[in-house]
Amino acid sequence: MKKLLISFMLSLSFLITVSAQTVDEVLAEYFAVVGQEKLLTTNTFSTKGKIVQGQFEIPFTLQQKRPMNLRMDAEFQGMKISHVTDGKTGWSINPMMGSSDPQPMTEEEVDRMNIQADYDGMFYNYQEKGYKVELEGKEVVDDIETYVIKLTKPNGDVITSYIDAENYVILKSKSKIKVQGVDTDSEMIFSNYKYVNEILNPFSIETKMNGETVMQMVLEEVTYDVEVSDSSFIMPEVIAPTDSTGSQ
Amino acid sequence: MKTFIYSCSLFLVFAFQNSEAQKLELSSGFFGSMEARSIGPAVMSGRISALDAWNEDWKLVYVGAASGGLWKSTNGGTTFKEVFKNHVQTIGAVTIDQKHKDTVWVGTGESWTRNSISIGNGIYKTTNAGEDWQHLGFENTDHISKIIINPENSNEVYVAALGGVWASNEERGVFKTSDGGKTWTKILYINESTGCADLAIDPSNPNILYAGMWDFQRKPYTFRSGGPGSGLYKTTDGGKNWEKVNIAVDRGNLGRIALSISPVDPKIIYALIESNKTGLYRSTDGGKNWELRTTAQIVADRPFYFSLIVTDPIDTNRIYKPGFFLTVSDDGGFSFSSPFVEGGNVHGDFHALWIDPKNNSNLYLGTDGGLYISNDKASTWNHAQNLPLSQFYHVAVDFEKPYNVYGGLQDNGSWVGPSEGIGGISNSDWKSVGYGDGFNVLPDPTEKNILYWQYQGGNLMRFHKNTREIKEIKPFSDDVDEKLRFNWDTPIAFSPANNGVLYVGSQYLYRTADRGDSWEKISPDLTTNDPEKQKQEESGGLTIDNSTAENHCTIYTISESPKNRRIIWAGTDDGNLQVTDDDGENWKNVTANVPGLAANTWCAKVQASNHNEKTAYVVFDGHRNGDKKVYVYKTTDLGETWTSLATESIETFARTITEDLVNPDLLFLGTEYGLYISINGGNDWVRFEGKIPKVPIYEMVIHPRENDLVIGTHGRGIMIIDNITPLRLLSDEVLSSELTIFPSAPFTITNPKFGTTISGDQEFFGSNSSSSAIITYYMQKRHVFGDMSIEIYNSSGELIKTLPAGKNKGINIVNWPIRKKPPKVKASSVTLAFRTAFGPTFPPGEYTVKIKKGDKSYEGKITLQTDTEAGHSKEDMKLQYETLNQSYTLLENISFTDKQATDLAEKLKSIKGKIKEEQLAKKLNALTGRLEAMHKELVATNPNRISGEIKLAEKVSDIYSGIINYSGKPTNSQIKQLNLLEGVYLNYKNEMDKILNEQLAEINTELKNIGFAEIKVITREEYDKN
Repeated sequence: MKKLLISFMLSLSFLITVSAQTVDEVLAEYFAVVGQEKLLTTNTFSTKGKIVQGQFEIPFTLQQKRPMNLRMDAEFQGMKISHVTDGKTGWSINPMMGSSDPQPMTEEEVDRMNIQADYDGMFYNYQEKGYKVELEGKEVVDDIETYVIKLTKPNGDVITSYIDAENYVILKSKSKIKVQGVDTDSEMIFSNYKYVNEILNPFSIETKMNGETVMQMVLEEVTYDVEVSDSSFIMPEVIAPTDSTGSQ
Repeated sequence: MKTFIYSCSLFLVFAFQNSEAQKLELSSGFFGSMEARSIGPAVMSGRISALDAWNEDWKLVYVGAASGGLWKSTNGGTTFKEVFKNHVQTIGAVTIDQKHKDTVWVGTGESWTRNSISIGNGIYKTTNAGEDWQHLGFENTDHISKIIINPENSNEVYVAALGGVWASNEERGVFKTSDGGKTWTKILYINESTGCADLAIDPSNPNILYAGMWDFQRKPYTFRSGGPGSGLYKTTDGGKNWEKVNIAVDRGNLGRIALSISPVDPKIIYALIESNKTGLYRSTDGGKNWELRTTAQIVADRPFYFSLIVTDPIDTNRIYKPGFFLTVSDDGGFSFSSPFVEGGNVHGDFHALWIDPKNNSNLYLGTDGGLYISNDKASTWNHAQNLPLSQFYHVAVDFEKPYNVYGGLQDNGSWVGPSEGIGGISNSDWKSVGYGDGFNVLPDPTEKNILYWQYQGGNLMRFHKNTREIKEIKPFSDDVDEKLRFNWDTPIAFSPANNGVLYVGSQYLYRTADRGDSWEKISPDLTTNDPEKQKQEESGGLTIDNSTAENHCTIYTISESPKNRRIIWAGTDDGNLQVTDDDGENWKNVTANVPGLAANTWCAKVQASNHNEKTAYVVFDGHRNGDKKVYVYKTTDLGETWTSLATESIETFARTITEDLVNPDLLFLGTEYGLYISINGGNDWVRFEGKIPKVPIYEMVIHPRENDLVIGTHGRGIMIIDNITPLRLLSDEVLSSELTIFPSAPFTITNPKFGTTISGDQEFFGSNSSSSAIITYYMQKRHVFGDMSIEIYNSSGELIKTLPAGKNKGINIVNWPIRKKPPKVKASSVTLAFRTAFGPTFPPGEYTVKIKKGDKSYEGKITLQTDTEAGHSKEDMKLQYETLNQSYTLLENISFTDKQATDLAEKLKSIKGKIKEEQLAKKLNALTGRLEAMHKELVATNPNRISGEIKLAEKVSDIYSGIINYSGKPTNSQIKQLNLLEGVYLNYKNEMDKILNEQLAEINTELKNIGFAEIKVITREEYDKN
């Protein structure tokens, strides 16, 4: 019954918004469908699932807390990998890169992570965040008509989202971001959308680079307003090894 | 409430309409995630027709291919990115707006007017560095030779429109826009056979331009360069008025003209003018007076292909002349010599050259064999072996494992390469087997050691692979005065009966049954034998050019019926289609039976059906007569009547057709702009967009064993669509189902093949087919809402794997990497993590696939089988499987015991401070100490990457990783060592059991007595769950 109601509501919104033209009108529909108002009343978001890369399956957890805290932990054969930001600074642990100690992130890395850390999503109050958002027109994605919305960050990074013109969910997004000065392109494809706590989330996200699938993220559980301690976003102190020889 | 009811009824109307609209319209979306893979080759690359780099930083370069698209590098050619994949692949001109480097203009349609030239469809512009392109007209111009942006005003752009090569048209001359391409004005037009071949702007006064106008035309059998329309023109008011520059006035009609203005002293202008005595002229006073500098042959070679001169941007006396060779003059054009002082190992035939204005040592050079890069003023060159632009005329396959692909290329000889390689198909995997221009390369179906290839004009060779000896085997006429007419791209074809009979066509059809040692003529002249079309020695216009490229009145396509060896079809370049049903005794010209076909239209491909002896397909290609209509037909009565299979959805002329080997309704059509597929016998055609751009497709074959469609593109090498079985099964029933799982062929379990490639980033690697088992299904609509996943069950009904599902509309291809989860270990060191990263493969057998979509479940089967060709006995493979799984289990057991140790130690430590009883505290301390020691004995704890620390888990992982990649018997030492390690582990396990059953039980009793809670250690069940 609930499903029927949702599809019914969606059909209504479709009827009403056939002539949606401006980017804000499209986003208003999008916010309505994803449950933005409800999202605004929550404080934490937690999920767990797995990252599938070819034959590897890497379990992960992700926690978000207002305003800009984000922590993602993954485990590969018992080795723990973490990426954490509080919106201003960030740190990571990646034994694959040679150290099990937390390492501070560069400003560029923090900035890149902040799109994800933004609790209310990049489109919400985009002007205040300094983003430029434009409706570029319509495009067909896998035989589904979409609105193409281009978001430009102050640093020039561009994220283009393709919003289903009937159901107002993001079907895919393309990002063009600089990594250490080099332009990189990637594409994310969203599916398995489900409501949790009246908020819509894609439970499956496929990432492509240069047209090849490099990663699939599958969410197994999503919860809101679970207690998340502020301390989990703070970089643990590392006791620097003492130089016993005292050499210069 | 009223509103609600109204909305409700509207909703119902919508629902009703949707259910009514059941007829499914075919679209590219039906192919879903089916994609072609490119296997190159890039070792010889392909023709580069135009290029431009950024004057501020030479590392940003755009390279335009003759028929292989546009490629961008931001690192000086180390890597390239394809930036024009959704558009026509033939590039005539590319120009960067030097003031706004992200704005680039592209004119499609190459300007080097050879016989195999591809046709463009206008001008495109990007303002975001190639991300998006806007089409800005010139649809009917066909070929664009240059685009010039006013250096002072980016909105003012001039286009040198060469126009059609094969027919007259008015969409040619010089055009100008002043609004960035929104509107265009034709500012110089001579006549409908004269286009603009070159254009130059004075950088110090952008109102001054020079235009080289060229009167020319190709026909299928001849070429004319030069005519009354040719001439050099100059404007001083931005194109409002033009005056003819009186140059070479004593030479009669002029031909193609190339221009170059010195960027540092724009009064110095060079003009290379084709005439009956082609010469290089120079003006030093801004075009008022001109001086003839040289008429040496080096500047006069083949103007239609090499009319290009490039002035050094710094040295006004240095001028490069690309041609058959690259030469340079340092005396303003009086004399030319080779710049290759210390190098010069480059492919000949030069078409594009860019010189860095900041440092004239840096050059990019475009050739028939790809892109070269110099940083020492053209002395030595790097080859960019990362551009897969090879231009195949034909393609063939053999039955090796993996199978090889054969084909010949424009100016790049004949090649053989594997369909799979280690870590991808590398440049060095491709082997050259023939020289010249390459065409058909056919493996002998009866003798593995022999293949056949040819160079232009019917020069047929037999190549012996083991000795690399070549024997020339073309037939001769019994009448020594008679000339056999062989096409530039002479057809050869094996009998599908695998009897070794080989056909070759001149004007007659010949065949051999002894590998070319003797030939039997089995037809009369099958062509129109029109003497007017046989004057190739006069071809070329002002510069005679008789390379066999215009040979005409020849057989071009041959097909023996796979159902009846006595039925043979032959199509000719002058428009005849002939058939015999009595093994060549009698031939019937059935051309007149083909409806709607323009006279003398080149018969590009005839293919006898694989399913019915009276059925055949034919493609005619009229583009060389200026006719771009799609001509594709089918007969079912041996040519008596023909049905057109052309539809509006096919964008432009077709070149080839292939009928499926299994499903006669499945047809593949190769066109100038990409691949089209029909699943209903040609009633509807849909362009296949999965990684195949709008590239000319010259020939396709289906591999009978692998069911792969192997595609010979003219510009993007070989592309393979692996396993076309799902296309064969796209019935109406399937198309109207919500989801249908296709049957999977048994998947052979193989191990990764070892090989190291560290050749840097400037090398192309062709893609391999998937190394995973593949689950394929059709879905009518994209899945967006709700759960969808794929579950795999073994024969006991146990769920062994959950995979993310493919969600595309149409065909979905999902890889199932057939490995179990890796053993669960707690690695402190990268060594252990990497050694245990892969799980063992699942055993051979039948598995059930369940696709869960919302509330529905769809079921299919997939079988895993052992690799019988790996050379291992069943017993050995079984032993490997068992030993591997023994070590897997041992690793997991060690990890569990280790987890118990650390878990208990932590719990003991957490209460230690609270215990007042001295004896108990001591016990806790002692036990904690032992557990921590045990942890350090079981697994390495030093996170240092190369600590070299080896503990029990590391020792077992050494055996595990040593066994996993070899499917045969493990060594006796490995088996013995594993058993010993198992014994060692058992000691730890027994100790742990004792600790838990005795020591911990004792401690727990005491804890209970003093009011503490019992300590519980993690159980195996809890451990496995997390």
